[in-house]
Amino acid sequence: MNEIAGAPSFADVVETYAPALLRLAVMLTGDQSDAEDLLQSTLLRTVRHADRVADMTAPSAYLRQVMLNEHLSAGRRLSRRVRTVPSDAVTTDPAVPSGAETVDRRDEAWAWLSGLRPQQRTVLVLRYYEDLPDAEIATVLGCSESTVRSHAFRGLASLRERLNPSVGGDPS
Amino acid sequence: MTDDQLETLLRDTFTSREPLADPDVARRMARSVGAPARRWPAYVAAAAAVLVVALVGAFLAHGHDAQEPPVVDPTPPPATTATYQENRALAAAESARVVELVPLPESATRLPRKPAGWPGRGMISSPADASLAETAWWSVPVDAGSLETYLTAHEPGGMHREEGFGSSSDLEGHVVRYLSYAQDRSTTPDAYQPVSLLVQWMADGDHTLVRADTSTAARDVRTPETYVDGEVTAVDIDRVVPHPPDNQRLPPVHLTAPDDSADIARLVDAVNGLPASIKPAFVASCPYPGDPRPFVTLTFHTAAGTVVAHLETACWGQVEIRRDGQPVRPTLDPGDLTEVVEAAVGNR
Repeated sequence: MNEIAGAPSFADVVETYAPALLRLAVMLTGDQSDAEDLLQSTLLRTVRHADRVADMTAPSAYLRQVMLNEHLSAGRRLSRRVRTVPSDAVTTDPAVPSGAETVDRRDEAWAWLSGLRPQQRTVLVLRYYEDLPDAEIATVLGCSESTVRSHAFRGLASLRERLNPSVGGDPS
Repeated sequence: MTDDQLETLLRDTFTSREPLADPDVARRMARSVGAPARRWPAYVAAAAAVLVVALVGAFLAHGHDAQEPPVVDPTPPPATTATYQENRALAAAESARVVELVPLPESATRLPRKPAGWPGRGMISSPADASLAETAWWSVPVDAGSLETYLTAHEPGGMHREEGFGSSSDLEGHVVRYLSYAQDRSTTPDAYQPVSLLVQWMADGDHTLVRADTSTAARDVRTPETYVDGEVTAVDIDRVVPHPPDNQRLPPVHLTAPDDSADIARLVDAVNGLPASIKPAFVASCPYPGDPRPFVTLTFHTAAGTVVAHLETACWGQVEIRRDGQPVRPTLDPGDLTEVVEAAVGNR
């Protein structure tokens, strides 16, 4: 804590919220290393406004917003990291049913998430992991509520199709 | 499945991946970034101010030699006699070592070749040198679920799990589960790229078949010309950063010694600490990075001329070094250079 007035310092604030931010980064990126990269870039971005962050009464929303902005910037999706996956496990289009029998539906859902466009995945993360209402998601992403609902609706339809390809569904 | 069931599945899926986020790692990262911004107690600030005034006074009282510019003097480049072929031999030896690290029960039996019934699947690891890949096979007298439990409890020494368990299957109904590991950065010498290890397994009656594949690539050897040397008096930083829908060119930043000596030294150390790029060269296929292309250019001004480190940050870009306008080889692996630059620039 701050040695002068008892208020938290920037270091205290980011250390408090870093674990939750890293969890959010994992959900957004789907990858441990990419998540740590995203947290690092988020922290570096916020350190420029350290005094302001330290004085915020609710810095978590600000930190989350910075992370979302970082994640949705084009550069975050251009990883230089080596990726190692089985050649026949590469998902190129989440809307196309794999035809494969799933062993674990959570694994299947996780793999399906990796093929989504970043904005759609972000909507699903904010809705089903962060439990944010659609109005707040729209605000933080700078889009309309109907866009949020559309992403969620199409996402669920696509996931249903992925898990039950014979049933049919929205191919979006 | 109903929408409610899908929503529950998504919530469970996200929650099940929370262990990928290590809170201790997060706190360490926060501490490393947050520490410079820590506010000092008033008495420390006051003491510092007094000290500064005293030092300035002493400096002015004694005069100063205006002919000697304030500089950052990098450590001379390390003398190396390594060759690419030696690096390649080291990489091959490490690849052969790592493929033996698969954590398996003692009852596992090494198989001399690919067992019958294993689906014809390979692996994608880009970029890597395919000729350095090692593959090994085992049969384990336990069911696949028990093996997975064992793998959950054990990790290869000096490596960390990259992702959670994955699975794939083919039209014949073979279900293959897999895990991938990467070497801890600190254990990786400059001779080769960290070795990746992919472990796959598949039920085979009351046994489980296991396949392990490694991938790596040897690095080129840095030449003395690729190091920032001599006395550095200033650094210019020019950047284009990703900023959808259009990338953004940021105002140039000019660092000068002695005011910015600490940041200049960090940038010099960052460039001089980069390993050379891997060989052979590879062709990458990447999404369109936007226009203008994101890059960062550091121009180090020394008494002998300029050394430029230029990195196109999109699509596996490598750091190109130019001395007085002339490119020198080899290129360098960018590592965390952009993060170091961001930290050095700070809120300037």
